[in-house]
Amino acid sequence: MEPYGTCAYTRPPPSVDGMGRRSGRRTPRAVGRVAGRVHTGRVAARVPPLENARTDIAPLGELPPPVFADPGGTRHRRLRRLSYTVAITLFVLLLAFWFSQLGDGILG
Amino acid sequence: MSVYPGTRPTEQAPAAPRRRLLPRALVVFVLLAALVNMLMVEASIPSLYIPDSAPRGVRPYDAVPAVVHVGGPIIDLTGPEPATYRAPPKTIALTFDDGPDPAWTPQILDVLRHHQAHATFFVLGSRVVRNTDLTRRITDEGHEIGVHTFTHPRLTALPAWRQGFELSTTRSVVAYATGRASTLYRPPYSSTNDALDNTDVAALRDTGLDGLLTVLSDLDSEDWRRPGADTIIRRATPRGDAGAVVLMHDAGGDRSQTIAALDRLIPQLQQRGYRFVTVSETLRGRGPVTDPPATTAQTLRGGAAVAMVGIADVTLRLLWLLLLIAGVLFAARTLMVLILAVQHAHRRRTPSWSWGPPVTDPVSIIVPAFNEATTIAPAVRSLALSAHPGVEVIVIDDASTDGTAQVVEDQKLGNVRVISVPSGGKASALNTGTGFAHHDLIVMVDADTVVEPDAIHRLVQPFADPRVGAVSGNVKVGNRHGLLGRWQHIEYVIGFNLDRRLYDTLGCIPTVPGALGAFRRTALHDAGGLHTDTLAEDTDLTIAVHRAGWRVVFEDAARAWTEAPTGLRQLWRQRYRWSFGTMQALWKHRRAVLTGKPPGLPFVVFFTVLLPLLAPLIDIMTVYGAVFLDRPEAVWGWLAMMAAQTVTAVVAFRLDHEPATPLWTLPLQQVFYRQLMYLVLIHSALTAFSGQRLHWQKLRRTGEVAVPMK
Repeated sequence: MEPYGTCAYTRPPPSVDGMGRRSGRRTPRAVGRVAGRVHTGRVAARVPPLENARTDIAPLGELPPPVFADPGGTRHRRLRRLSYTVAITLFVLLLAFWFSQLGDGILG
Repeated sequence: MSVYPGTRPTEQAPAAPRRRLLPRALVVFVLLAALVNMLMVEASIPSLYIPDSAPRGVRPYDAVPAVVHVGGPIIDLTGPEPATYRAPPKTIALTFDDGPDPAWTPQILDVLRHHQAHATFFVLGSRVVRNTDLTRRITDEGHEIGVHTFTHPRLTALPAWRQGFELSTTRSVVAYATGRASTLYRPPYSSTNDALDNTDVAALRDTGLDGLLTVLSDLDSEDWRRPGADTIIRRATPRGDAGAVVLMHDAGGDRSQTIAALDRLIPQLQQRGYRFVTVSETLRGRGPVTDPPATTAQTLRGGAAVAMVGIADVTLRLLWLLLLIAGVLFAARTLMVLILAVQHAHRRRTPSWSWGPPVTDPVSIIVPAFNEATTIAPAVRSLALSAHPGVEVIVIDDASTDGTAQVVEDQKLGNVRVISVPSGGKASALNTGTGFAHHDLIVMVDADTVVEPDAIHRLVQPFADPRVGAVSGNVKVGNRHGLLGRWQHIEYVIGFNLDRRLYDTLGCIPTVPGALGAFRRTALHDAGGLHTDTLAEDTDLTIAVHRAGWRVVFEDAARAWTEAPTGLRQLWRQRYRWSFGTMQALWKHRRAVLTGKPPGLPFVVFFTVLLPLLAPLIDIMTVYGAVFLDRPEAVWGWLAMMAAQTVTAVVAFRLDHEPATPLWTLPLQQVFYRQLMYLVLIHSALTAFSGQRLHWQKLRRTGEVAVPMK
């Protein structure tokens, strides 16, 4: 995954609600179901239900890079060079060995 | 199970340049060739030992030169005219074949030294390469080395190139070990001159052209038959004062009688005035030089052969060790699943078993979806209609482009909400869903998975135990037609009904599957939510929940039916991501693995990473052992493993109340499917090692799993 992340969050109550009405001068009312006996203080603001709330992207800053990732490609380059070197060396050694062993038997 | 793009469409990483594929393929080819080379070298080393003097019956010998047929045992065909030599009177040339042997040759050398006698050892190159010090000791103590081929074949049955290889390689390794280039040669399965027949003539002439003297024998002790020391002495004792080349053996079996006979024969003949000398000494002053110094080229070739065999020995020992580890892990896993998983199932199914009071708390079900229009409707409907009070379903539409959200809306289900988010990947979608969830019990289900009506209710029952933080459901393959579907079905049944039960017993379930899993909100919070730095976010989250101190359990009665990949390419992609993601998660939580918190986590590493990585050796070494080493027990071992696999599969199917019919494909699964999974795992390991970034890949869906199977 890319080193960014998103999450939805509910914006703080705006001074103008979603319908374009001023909300500051009216007495706020609680929204939603109230169950049981709850002692509440003075309602300070009107909050839309969670599912109707406006959402936006909240960048979370720098997230950890994916595990094993080698963003610069240094490890990959080194591994590639090493594998090529090992493969070429092995190939030459194997060829030389069998040529030396069989060459004498066949040609000599 | 669903997979999601973890990057925005415009940020797809470029594919590896095609021009690099050929070099990579060549690297793999050379590495495989080197491995095969080592295996072949090892396979060629064991000497095919058949006693030298095994009778071959009477054969035509008219092509054998008369001077050779009736002449002395030392045959010189290097010149234009054949010549033979005998040991002078009162001279014995003791010869020992088939060594050097680390058990018997030193004892023979001790006897010879004790009696101040010298002898000639006709060595096998395959034994010299592994006993260079012993070979050097032979010459250091004044004895002589002759060539007895590399692997003890019947030389006349071999093509000319192989005959040349047998002789030249043995001379080279002797040159490397002793610094001498012996020109004495004794063919395997030879005895006296009158046993030569027409089939031997060509080989005799070829060895003559190579500058070698062929050394047969006057007296064959036939000590390989182990007739007793007295008989060996009688057969090795010349008549009168005649000299003799005496044939004995210092390898190829128990040589204690040879040693006992030698210890008596030498002093007896010495009392009669006999001298014990090398073959070269019998020729001194009348025959060719037989023990010249080795050339640099010979020494280098010998050194290369010794080094190659040494490397091959180490390679094969390493392979056997790894095979042993794989075998032990396989046996341990089989035993553990058969004992612990079965106990787990029985314990859970006893009438008295209970998680606690029934859990009826409302549940929020989160369904992350990216382009799941084909499958999401039955999935969401099955969830919304779950037989559990207070179910809310939250579909997180992760920037789908196929109308996934509209398909859900069209279902018009009152307890289903769709929340559309910008593309962010599955983990982000699940985090968002968790944020929107009203309830403290959170179930996560893939959008291609259909649950049974009571699955959600059963899934949350373990939360009656306040220590339980997460619950894994029992995911089953819904589209189990065709070989690939059946193989995956078998794999799922075994994985969920044996492995998960085992890990549940050990307290280390590594993955609460994304297809069906439940979490306590507090546990999710304690684990830090879902993270985006691994591709197996479910494994990552599960281990984090463990580390936060919560119990993770398996509830087999909570069943869901998922759509498995229908093609090899799709399957490869899915498993590649799974195995890579699992490696990422285990590596990320390596401290937990090392510290053993949760305590059983090392078993997960052993059984899900190490064993599958080593398991190909079981198949490779079976083929190698059966074909190249002629070891039938290799096949028996493989069949035993197959039998164990079959037993575990049958047990898993019985525990899951599944009909065993699909198990007829199990042998084929072991031959083809298992190898495919090995390759996927190796590919994932190489990707992890090289630091390449693996991206989410969308699987093709058919939407054929619409209702739970009966």
